[in-house]
Amino acid sequence: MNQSKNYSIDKLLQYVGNDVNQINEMIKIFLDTIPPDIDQIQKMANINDWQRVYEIAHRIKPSIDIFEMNNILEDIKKIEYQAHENNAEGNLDALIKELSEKVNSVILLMQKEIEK
Amino acid sequence: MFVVEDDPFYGELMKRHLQLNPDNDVFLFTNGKDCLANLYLQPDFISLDYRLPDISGFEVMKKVHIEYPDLPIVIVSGQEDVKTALDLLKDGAYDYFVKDNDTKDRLWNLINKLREKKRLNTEIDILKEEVGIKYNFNNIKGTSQALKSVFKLMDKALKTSITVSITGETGTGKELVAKAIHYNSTRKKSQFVAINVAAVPSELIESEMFGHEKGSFTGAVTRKIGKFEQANNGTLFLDEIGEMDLNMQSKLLRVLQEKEITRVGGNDIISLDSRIIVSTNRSLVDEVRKGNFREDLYYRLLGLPIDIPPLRTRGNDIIILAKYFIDDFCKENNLKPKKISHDAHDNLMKYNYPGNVRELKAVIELAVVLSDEDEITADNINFNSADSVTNFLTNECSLVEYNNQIIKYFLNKYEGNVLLTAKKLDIGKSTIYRMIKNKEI
Repeated sequence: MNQSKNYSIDKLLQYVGNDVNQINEMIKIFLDTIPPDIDQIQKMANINDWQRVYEIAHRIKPSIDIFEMNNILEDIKKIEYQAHENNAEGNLDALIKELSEKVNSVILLMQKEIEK
Repeated sequence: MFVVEDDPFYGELMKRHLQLNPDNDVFLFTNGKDCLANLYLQPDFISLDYRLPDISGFEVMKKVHIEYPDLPIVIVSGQEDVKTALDLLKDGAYDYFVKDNDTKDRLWNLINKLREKKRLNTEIDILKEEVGIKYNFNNIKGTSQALKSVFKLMDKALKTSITVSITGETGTGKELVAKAIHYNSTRKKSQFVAINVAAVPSELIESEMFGHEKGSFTGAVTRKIGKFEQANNGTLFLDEIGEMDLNMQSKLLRVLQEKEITRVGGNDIISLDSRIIVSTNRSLVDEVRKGNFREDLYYRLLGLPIDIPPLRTRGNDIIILAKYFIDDFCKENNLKPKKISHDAHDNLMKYNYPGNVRELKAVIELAVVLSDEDEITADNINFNSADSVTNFLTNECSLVEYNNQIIKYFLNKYEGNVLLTAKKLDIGKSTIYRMIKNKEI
């Protein structure tokens, strides 16, 4: 994994092979779906719908793992756990905000990569 | 195959991964309802996410299994909960995978395994069909009146699950008739299980028939399923039933009455639904009279009696069978078809075949091997047993009994034609009619 990028496509290659078109298409699907999901997590957290927060975090966790976004994955796991336990006190809001920033940053990086 | 996954990226990833094998035709659904609505496509396999936006994976699995109970469904989930996994497996999931680095390999291997299983099942179905064709009534060769009577009774046996008792000399084809009844009946999808009662030592027969539990006696190292259980919903063929000892007869009688068994050393009662076909080359009536066979069991087993006539009484069936065996043997050994010469034909018709159809087959196969031309001659026909006259005389009957047997033999041979029989034996036809009337023959 390229540490400077905070993501890797090594696992993706194992799934779809070395076909560049396939890889780009899959990255595009990821870029189209993850940001709305993160927005949704934020919205649901704002209205204290922790069950929905848990469900979205649980759903996107494997996709984040495919790109080996380990920092983001750790945050997602924490959010998933705390939302599931209804443990909304503490730093969950801050954690979601941090997650959003990290995702936005890596998404920008990925967009630049595929536009090259 | 279906991939049901609510995360669009992960679903697409699985779909594309599975499509790396061009044999995999993959449909992706992001919710349970779409999956259920498309079941008409009849997938071979479903990869199902446990958490779906509309209905749970568990509910989807239950609904799919109502329509397709054997359809393998693998639950693929981010849930790492052992209890959920066990519950799903208990409720019919084929397997349970957690989404991790091994998911794709496990899914890939599983699909290959399922595909191989499906191939083997198809092969089994084809073989079953072939066996069914092999035991079609048309493959029991012969046109004699005696055989036609057998066919009529076989046909009646198909319509119910009545017990069938087949009698006939050795080599007449008792097992072939039993198999033909099974493979043409509604029980053909279940097993035909045969046990030769005479061939199993008396101390093992109970365990062989009813099975045993592990440790029930010295040497019972594993549980064994008995022939009765194997034949459940199918047919159990008890060959040479006349050889069964009295102790075992009483156990068999109880099983036939109760329609249930208990394995040796076990306590569980196992209900049975099998058709029983028995065969013997002995006269069970005589065995009952001698005290060797229980009368109550005899009546329980009698059911629909089918007596297969000896080959020597089946007239031209000998030639029909001989030609069939020649063609079959030539085909199997890539030989040119051979005819039967006039002399060979006469020799075949004169012999009395103590070994019946089995013996005829052996005689014909040897004749095909020995013949150098495209015709089997009398020289190629070798009968193994002593000549027919010697065979006949070894029975040591009275002259009157021999007389009756000779007339009966010719009557059978000429399919009940009294005039022809009288002409061949140079006796008056009224003599034969009188003997028939007096039930001497």
